[in-house]
Amino acid sequence: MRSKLKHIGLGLVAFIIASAIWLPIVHLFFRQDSSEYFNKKAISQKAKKLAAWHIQLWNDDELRKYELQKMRGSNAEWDFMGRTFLVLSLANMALQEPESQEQYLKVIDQIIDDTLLVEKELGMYQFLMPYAKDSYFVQKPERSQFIDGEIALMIAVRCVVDRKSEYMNLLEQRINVIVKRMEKSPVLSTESYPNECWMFCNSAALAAIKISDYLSGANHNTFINEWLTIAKKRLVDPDTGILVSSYTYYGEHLDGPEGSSIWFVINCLMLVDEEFARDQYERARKELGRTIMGFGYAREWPDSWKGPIDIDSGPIIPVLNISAGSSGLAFVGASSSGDVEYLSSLLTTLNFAAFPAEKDGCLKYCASNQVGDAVLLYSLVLGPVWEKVKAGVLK
Amino acid sequence: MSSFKKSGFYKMFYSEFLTPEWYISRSVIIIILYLFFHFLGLREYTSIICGTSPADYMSRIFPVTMGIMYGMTYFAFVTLSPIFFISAILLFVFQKVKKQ
Repeated sequence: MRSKLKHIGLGLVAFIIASAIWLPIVHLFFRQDSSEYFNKKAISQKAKKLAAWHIQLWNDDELRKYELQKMRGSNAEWDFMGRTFLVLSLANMALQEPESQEQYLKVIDQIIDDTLLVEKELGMYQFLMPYAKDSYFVQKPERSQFIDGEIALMIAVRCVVDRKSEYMNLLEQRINVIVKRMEKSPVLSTESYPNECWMFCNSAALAAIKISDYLSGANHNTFINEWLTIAKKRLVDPDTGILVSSYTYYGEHLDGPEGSSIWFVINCLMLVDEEFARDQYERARKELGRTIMGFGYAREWPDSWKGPIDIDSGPIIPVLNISAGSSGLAFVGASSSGDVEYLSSLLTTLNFAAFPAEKDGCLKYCASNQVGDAVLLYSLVLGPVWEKVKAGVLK
Repeated sequence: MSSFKKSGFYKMFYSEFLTPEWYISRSVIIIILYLFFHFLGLREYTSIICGTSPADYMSRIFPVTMGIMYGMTYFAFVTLSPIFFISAILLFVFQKVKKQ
């Protein structure tokens, strides 16, 4: 009996030592040179392969319907957001690679036209989750900032690449509507869902306003500065200093800071108040960003906030609180802030746990979906559009 | 069947708990299972991680089951299998040292 226990003990000791040897070095097998993904001077090969998959989707009606339908089965918002992130990506790629501009603009226009058509024929609810119909919007007539903000952003970035008069008119109309509605709200934010203002959507709208100013020569700086003052005073979580993710029309906090929201908010704020955006990134990185044994990931909530597992957070792995939604969008936050170290650890996790698959020059991540891959693509190519707008404003 | 029972792997599989042979056999089984699921194309089903079914016509139960099976064997393949293999080497070394 004693020798058997000794034998089991020895076996367990061997297992523990082996774990201590292997686990800290696993990440080395999945670590790739970040320049394969991020390249400031040219579009990386990985980004091109990822974009090729999306371009293929928009060139093949049947394939696109099939892919979008799969996502819509879980969340209609993803269909819409997948379009936004793809347009953002392609606009950046078009500026980075002028020789392919025509190809990218063709897809961008196709996405914008299709989105406007769906909005016109089926209404905003086509892209919203079903609970949008459960109660009434406070502000009348009913509109969703989720739809308005992102459509404006799509058209705006398209026009940064190449001004198209038809789109410029649409942008001006949409921005006027957005600003008028935001100005009426006590916290200068308007609803995406009934009595729910989302920081994600209002930040996207702010970025669209800023780009629209750059394009048209209009000036909404006073409005933007007022929005920032109110946000810093009333829309920040008192425990972490991070902007809350959702609040009522009157500014009462609903959800606290969320990873699936703040990382993209940081990207939008980079255009309107870089100092504040960097402060938000530092806080989000501290509260939500984690790296364990070389693997980077992000939590959905800080320790001080307990939120539900929902469609935004995606599934959450217990103990470490790894959120698929927050980790995916963390790429955008880290890339916007130039945090190469965190990006590199996130990429290691991507190669380890997102199941990349390459076929016919296209790259996709099996554990992801169209919107997830579009977010990743955006993080790999973002920069040129924001830089062009910022340079224009400075002039 | 009898020749399989005489084979080295059969003996390894039924070897004593936590011996080098036990670790090696488990490591090999994990590798075989992972490769089997991989070549069956179950990688596509891991889209359930982000809450998306790999095909819109399928019920949720089938893709979730396939995705979980693939995910578990994959993570066992990249973490547990090498640990088992290293454990076997360590035990083998311990035994050699003990004999000397």
